[in-house]
Amino acid sequence: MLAELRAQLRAGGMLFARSTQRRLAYPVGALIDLASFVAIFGLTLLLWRAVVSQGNSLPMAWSELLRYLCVAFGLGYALEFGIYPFQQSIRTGGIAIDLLRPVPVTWLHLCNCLSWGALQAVYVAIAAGLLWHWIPDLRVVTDLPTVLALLVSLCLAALLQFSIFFLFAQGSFITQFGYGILYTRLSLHQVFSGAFAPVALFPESLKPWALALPFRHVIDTPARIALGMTAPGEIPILLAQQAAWGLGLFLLGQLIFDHFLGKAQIQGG
Amino acid sequence: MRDELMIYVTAFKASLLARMEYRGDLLLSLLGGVCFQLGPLLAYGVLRAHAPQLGGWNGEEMLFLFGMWALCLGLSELFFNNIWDFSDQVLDGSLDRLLVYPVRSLPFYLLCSPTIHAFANITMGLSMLGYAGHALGLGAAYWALIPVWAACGVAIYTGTLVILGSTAVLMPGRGLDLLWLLAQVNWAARYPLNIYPAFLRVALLVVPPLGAYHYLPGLWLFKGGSLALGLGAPIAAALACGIGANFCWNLALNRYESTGS
Repeated sequence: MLAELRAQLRAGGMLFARSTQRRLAYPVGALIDLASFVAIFGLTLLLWRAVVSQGNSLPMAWSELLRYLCVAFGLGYALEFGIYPFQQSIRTGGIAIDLLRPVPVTWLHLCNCLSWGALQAVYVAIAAGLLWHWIPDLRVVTDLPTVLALLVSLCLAALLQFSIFFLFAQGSFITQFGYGILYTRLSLHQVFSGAFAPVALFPESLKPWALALPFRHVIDTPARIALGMTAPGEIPILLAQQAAWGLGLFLLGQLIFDHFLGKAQIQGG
Repeated sequence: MRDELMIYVTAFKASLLARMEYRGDLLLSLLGGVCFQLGPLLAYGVLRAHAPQLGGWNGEEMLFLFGMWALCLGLSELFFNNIWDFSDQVLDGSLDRLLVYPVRSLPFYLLCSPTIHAFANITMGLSMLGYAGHALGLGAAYWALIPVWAACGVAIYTGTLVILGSTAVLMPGRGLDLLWLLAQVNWAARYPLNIYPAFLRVALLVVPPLGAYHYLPGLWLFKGGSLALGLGAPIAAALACGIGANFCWNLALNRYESTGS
């Protein structure tokens, strides 16, 4: 049992390294990808800047919102995983090859996604380092318990994001063209994750939806913890909610995947 | 000419029927299209909760911009979507077959990959335009010019995609990234351009003129702008993008190396 676990971890490490190497092989692609994210981030900043410059009052100061949006952008970019190869492998039947590998398919794609995330997190760290002096008050929490809570929250956000991706990607089992699924997830994520605005700024009609859906725990929750914007005693509750959503959706995704695998027909099989 | 047109119609019809073959796919694609338009509307709802007017544009006027944007995107995705696959087809050599058809390659190529979610974008776009026109009490000129602006928007957006997509021949494997970048920039063009800094406003009106087919008509309709700006500029931008797309496409095909050559 222990030997098998060790073998799986070793395989995961190798998959992680291979996936990172593959990503590094296309630096131009990664740069253009980053530019796309920067464009969206810039648009978000300009929209909120326009709101503030018109003299409208917000429940939070502009500097506070700017800090939030910077952190949300960094998180959003780092956690925008490359699950598309999984979706593509379902569509093309290439998943047959994944099933032959000596590691579970979920583990395979989790390692792939984490390698993307880790690499993108490095890019974010470099960008943050370069921009540090230009962004006023871009400071994050420094006390040890909150830093530890932030690390846990980041791990749970990564798990949750992967679980959401994995769940949505399986729509490709019943579709020929994957963009409907892609757009649905993307739209829900962009509105409710907190990438566009902190949930605290949502109007009363939207807030219950944002609070009820899991997306806010991908960006809004870790961003608030990182910036010290949580109420006293709120962090354990947020972490518990993140863990419940992350594990729950992961298990649900696994169940659905097993169900589809039992029905899937692969050419040549 | 008539024979060529019939080939285009037949190819488009066959591709569309193939796309609509799977019911689950059809439903999820439509749902995706609706979500794709609802998402930005909800995001705007968050902004509107704090700013009833954005750059002097009220909710109904914003709906005109959003609606025209969605309509043109949907029409482009329905009739001219194949450019998104160009980069992959250059790499895998499947573009070769295009060169043996007895038709003009660009329109034929673009027509052969309609998407289903385009119907949702078109429906959402028309709904927003209809609501905006009704709420603002716009007259017959508004309804009559919507098809003209939509045609300009499709030419501008698709033309820009083709110009960027053609670079896939020079930079194999990278064309898709550039298209994705353009799509992201295009999201910015959905909002009134006067809220952006001057350099960005000019960029979105000139290179690429992604704001020309809804922002300029909006200025004419709601802000007392001139008709030349509201109608002449979108047509000029559409012509420029169409000519540019044709030029870049031909240049790309001349440089294309077939996998068999």
